[in-house]
Amino acid sequence: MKNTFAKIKSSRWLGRLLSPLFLLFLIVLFAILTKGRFAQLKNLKILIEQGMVVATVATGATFIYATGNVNISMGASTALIATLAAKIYLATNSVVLMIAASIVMAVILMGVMASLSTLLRIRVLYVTVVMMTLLSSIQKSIVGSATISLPNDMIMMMKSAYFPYITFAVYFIICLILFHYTSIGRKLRVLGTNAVCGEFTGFKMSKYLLIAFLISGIGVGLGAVMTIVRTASIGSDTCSTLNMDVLLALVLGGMSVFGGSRSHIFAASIGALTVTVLNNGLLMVGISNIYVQAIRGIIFIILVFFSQTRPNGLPSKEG
Amino acid sequence: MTETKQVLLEVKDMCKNFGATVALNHVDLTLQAGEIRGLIGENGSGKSTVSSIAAGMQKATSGEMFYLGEPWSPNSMLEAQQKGICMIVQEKGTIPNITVAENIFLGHADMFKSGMFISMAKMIAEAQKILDDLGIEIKADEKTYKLDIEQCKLVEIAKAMFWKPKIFIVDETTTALSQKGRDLLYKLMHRLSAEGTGVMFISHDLDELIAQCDAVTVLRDGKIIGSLNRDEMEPGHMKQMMVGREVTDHYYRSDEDTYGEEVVLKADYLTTRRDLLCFNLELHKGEILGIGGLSECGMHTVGKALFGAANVIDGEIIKTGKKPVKITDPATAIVNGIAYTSKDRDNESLGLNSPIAENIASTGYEENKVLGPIISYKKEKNYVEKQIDSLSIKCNSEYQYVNTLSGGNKQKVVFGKWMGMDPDIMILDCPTRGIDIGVKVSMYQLIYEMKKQGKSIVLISEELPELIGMSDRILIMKDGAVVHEALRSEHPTEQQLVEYMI
Repeated sequence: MKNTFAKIKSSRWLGRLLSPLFLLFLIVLFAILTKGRFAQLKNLKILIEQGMVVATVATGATFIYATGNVNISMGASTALIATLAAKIYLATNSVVLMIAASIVMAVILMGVMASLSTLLRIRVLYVTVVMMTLLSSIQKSIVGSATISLPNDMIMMMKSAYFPYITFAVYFIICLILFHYTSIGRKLRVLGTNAVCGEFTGFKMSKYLLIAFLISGIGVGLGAVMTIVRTASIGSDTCSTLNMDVLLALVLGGMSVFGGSRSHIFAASIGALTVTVLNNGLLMVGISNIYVQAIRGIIFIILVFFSQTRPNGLPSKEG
Repeated sequence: MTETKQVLLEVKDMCKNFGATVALNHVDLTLQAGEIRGLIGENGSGKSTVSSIAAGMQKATSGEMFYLGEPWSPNSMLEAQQKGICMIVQEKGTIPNITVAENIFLGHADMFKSGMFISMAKMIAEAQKILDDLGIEIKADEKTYKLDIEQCKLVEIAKAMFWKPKIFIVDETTTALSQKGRDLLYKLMHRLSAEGTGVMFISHDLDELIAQCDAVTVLRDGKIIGSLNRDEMEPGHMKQMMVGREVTDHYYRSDEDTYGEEVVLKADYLTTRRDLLCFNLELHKGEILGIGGLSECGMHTVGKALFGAANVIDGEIIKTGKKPVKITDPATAIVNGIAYTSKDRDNESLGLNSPIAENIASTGYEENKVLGPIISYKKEKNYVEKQIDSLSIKCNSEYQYVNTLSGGNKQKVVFGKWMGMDPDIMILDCPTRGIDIGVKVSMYQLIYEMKKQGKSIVLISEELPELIGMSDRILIMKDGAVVHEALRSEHPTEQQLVEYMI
């Protein structure tokens, strides 16, 4: 019996199957509760479009979370970059310039965050707490009380060229290769499992943290453009729930918030879809937005509690 | 005092296991009122374990204790303290950001409650009285972080005194004290003993023990070896009792092979932030270099420094060869074929919350590449399985988590991780710590095979039989410097080497 348990525990696939199964369960549940309205093609398309922004940003964030660090300014960063990118488009009328500037700015921003953490020897979490507030106020001061609207023909052009789908697919495949088929993902996971052991195996935390942030910066840049394409306007509440969505997506996708060896790149996409299904489904069932936020919070806490891998510092049940 | 003194503490048939490691093996011990009893033994012999159980720091696995005739099983140090058993620990036992007075009355601040509030002034005055009474020149309202380590120890002593202890345990405290502090402590110990308190004194300093104790009890490998009265105490005899285990060294190497002339790694006037000052060392091709000493002699820092993982202030580590390389960090060390296994295996050499495969594969990313930076899962699997097979790591599959393995198998995973990259130099810090004898033997064989292949090994160990059994050359360290060098051909004995350690 104990042996069977150990085998199940060490099985790599069971843990990874749970998240897709939960997603499927939610879709069926909401379809039944809404008498099929939820599963209509039109609604599912909206879900995927919403989910893709979260999925893109969360896929990038996977690299950071794998190291056991938490960046809680992903939403604020995306909002600010989207605002700046929108301004750049309005000034230049160039889609190419908007996309390029968006990626470059996001990568620089993430690089600065990682460097601040390593140079000042402050935990990533604390740097990003400050950053979240800072970036969000900068964004609000740029936008002001008005909303920045983008021309409809540009948005339609981007949509008809399947920009969000292609962008997500390309970024996802690149991240998949980097995370699972090169040494980068492996090193990040080793560092996330035990940073000292990682350093003693020759992987410098400062270097790989920077790499992780830069890769996730590309995701933020792309996510910003996808936000513009999806909403066609930028206001002070743009991406306001994105940060929690990303965090929840990774956990729902089967990753540990403590990073380490249970990190995998599919978590972000599956989790992003689950989060979107959850948000959308609960609203469609008729639950007020305030309660939706509370339910999300409760799910998050429960998942973190049951999270399999815990760092050494935290008490374990074995004592 | 009458002839038959009152028995304060009686320990009966006590055992303590840390996982697979047996720290105490059916120990019986009594402490009488008014006696000063020394506890001696090598590192890991169990002397700190038995005293810390009595003082409520941890629980025994089995066995009984009686305190003043009553069954005794304290749940915390605070409880033991209130009942009159106080212990001064080896490590720093004060909290830096509060005042001296708050440290002295830590956990008991309620005594100074007047109404809702705690009267700081009263607490400070009371603390000052204790300090003055003991002749300790420290102000009670001082913040504790301003004190040096010796003063902190004195504060701990004062803290213990407030409780008018019936049993006073001093665990290797004197190493942190200057002569003045030591005299103060000795005087106090004798004063307490005259008042009927039992004192348990743990120290490595035999002269100190002989001068201060009424009797000493010797522990070895978690067992009581014997007790000596005042007139029987003699350093030579005491050392022999401490280390004189049955010689069962047939599982070590038995050859007299020597090693090459070529120096492969050297430390040049190495000074680290802690422990080492202008330290020199040369490691030769095909040599097993043993480094021994007491735990705090700096040998563990040497291991880290040779791997580029210590905080080096001055001097350098050079991997010699056609193109000499300066080892500045672990990454450089590894690229140049140097591997390191830490004494703190779980925290520094392993990812516990990850599968065996991930741990072992972590040294083989370069080797297992197939196309540019792309790593082949198949090659990686072979890389891992090769190590699991050759080291016969007991596991369900290579995906089993490391934290479910026994100590010996964990160590095999660490070895597997490094053997995979086929290092030229292996730095092993206490490689057989907490490992059962079966795995130990296979580790020794592995070390010897590596030597035969012309690899060089630094073997840092707290166990002298292991050093004597395996090394071509042994360095004994004390206070961060090498105090003795012995060659295999000289057949050094434990007794000889201990002389230099203490």
